[in-house]
Amino acid sequence: MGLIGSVRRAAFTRPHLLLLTAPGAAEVRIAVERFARRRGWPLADSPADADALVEAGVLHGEMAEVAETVWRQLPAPSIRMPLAVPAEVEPGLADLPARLASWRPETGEEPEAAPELSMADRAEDRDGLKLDVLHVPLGPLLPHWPEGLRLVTRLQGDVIQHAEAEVLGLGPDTRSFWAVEDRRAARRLDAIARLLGVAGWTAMQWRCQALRDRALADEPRDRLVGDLKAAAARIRRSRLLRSELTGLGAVAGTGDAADRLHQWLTEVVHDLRAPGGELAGSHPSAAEWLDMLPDTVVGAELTAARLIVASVDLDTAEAEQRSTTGVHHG
Amino acid sequence: MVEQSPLWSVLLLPVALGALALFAASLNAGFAAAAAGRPVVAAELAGPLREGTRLLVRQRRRTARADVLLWRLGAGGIVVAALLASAVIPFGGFAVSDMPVGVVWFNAMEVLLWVLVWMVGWGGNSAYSLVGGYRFLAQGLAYELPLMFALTAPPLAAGSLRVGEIAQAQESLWFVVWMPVAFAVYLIGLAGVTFWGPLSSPASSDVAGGALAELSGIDRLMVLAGRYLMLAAGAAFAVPMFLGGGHGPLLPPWLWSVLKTLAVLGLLVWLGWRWPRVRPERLMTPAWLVLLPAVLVQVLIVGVLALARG
Amino acid sequence: MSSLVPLLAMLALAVGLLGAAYGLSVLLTVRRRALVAGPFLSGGLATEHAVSRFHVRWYPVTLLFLAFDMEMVFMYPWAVVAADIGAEAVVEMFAFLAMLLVGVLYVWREGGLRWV
Repeated sequence: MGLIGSVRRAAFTRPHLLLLTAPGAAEVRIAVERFARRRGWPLADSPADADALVEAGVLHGEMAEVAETVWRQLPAPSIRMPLAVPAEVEPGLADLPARLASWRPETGEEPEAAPELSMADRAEDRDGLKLDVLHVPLGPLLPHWPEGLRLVTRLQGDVIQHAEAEVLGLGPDTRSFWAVEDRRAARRLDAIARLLGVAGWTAMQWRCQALRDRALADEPRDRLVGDLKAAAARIRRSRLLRSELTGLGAVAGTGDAADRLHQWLTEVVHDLRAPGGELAGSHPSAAEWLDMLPDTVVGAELTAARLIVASVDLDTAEAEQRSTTGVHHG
Repeated sequence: MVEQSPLWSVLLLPVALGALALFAASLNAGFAAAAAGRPVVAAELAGPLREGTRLLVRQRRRTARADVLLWRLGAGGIVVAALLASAVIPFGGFAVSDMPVGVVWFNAMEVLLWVLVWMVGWGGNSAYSLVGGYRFLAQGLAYELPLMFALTAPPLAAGSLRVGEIAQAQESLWFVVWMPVAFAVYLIGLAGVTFWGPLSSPASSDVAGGALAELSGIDRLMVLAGRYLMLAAGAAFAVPMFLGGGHGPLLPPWLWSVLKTLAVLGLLVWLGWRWPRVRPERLMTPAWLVLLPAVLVQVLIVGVLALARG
Repeated sequence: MSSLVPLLAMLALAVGLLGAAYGLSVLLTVRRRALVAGPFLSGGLATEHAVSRFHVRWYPVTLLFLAFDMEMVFMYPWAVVAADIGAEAVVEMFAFLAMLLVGVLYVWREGGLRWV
């Protein structure tokens, strides 16, 4: 076992984390992201690539069911790690490599019976053809995705034909982490990083996450503002990014995804210089965004839809407890 | 002249290509560390080895009612295609196979990835990976024709499809000097074939890893390794086609081939970290209206110059 | 013929290496039996097969692609002999390519290159 043991230790020095965050638990998520970025632990895109399912915050209701479903999809060895509060992040994650290296299969585990699946239905397409439709939920567990949001979509090919939005896992104790006014700059930076993550600009995504963490850590503002302006200038200069976002998710009052990104960049610099104060322009509430999102993503290809959702600074913890009409669970 | 090396050199090629692929993966890990603000130390550069070990140790995974045969053939096939493609590449004066139609052979092996990546996406019976597989085909329709026309420019100038003779024809002047457009288009095409950098949408995180979404363990390792092997083979093939093959002062020709290959790999990895991803739907128009005409004009210029010379 | 022998040897070697890699994983893996799981759907449960008649919206481009792909069959042999045959070969090939490019312009004007 000596050789095999050391191979396993070497294999899991940097575990891949699958991060499922409850609405309102942004602080735990940010702590996990910071830990992972500093240690070089990758965040997994799907359960197949995850060594650990990290549950950030307390998962209520359907979010708990989601965690159960996804947990069964992780191949061995795997660890399930609930982290309710930020203080648990460092000690919990630090143990992971050792726990994975010494993982032993539990006896008596039976593989799940494969579910019965039906063939896809067909429906009218806008080209006047009758074609297969897939029912694909987007969220609540996807990389760079708002906490607890689920968009139930009908896809033909990779284009969304119909969508409904709901927020899962709102509990009686759910409070928005971002409700405090002097966190507004950090909130914008978090949103910018998420949008860049969907857009595939990983280097800039991490740079903005690091700036977000510094903004939350109450670092002296002058140095932070300087670094921030450099990053903002670099983002604004990217013609490719601008052309990818232009025309996506246009909503009256806020413009399209590119406009919203530029608005955020302006606000961040402004907020760091003089925290607080009224924001210029229109900022729809969480409930308003939830109403608008389905119509905005219909007709979009999946990447475009993902960019639209990420271009909306939707704080799901502020959504009222409700379910969209017409969506049944069970 | 390039000669065909003895048959036992077949055993060396996977080692050489593997080392080049590992170089690219390590460099990529180094860029990742730098982007995340970590010091680029040996432990970072060893990332691909650690990752490979991890995937060897992890349990494999199968989705319900998957098309397992196509799925596994697709995953393993990428490695095989990359190794076969590399067999016609001369390193200095020697090639494993000095085929008379070497350029066509490389092209054919590279195009195999169309079906292989699609099979990886399709086999899992999973919506996200299916979308990823089809994205690869959609991107292929955009980059593949410009890529193939770019591949005809060097043979046109050299009057041969034998890769060794094409390298030989660049003794006085590298083809990249008078075929810059073909070289640039070739690199774009290579990024498409290996779903690299801005063209990585077939396996991107916005669809939970796309074609890779349901793969774990050795199956995932084979796709990732195959992708880096193909990137290495493509970079090595650019050397005899555009960068003068083994020609260069002082150093032995095989070393020049290796150094130039490393330079091309370094360029590709660096560019991969520089830009955001291109949305899959937005590739068609610029590819057909800009890249294709540009590369055709390039081939025309090469044709006229070849006439004038010979 | 002699150039094909190393290619066949390489094919055999590549398949052998794949087998060795899979063998190594059997030795090292923590659990040999593969996990059978539902497809990942963001935490949702699958009710239908994902493999379906995928609505490929870029099908007009596939036809355009085929036209050029057939052309590639001529392009490679042409590249070898064009310099020997002379100006005639270059003129003929590019007249043909120009006609195909008219097709590209037509598809573009009809909106075939935009697929969403």
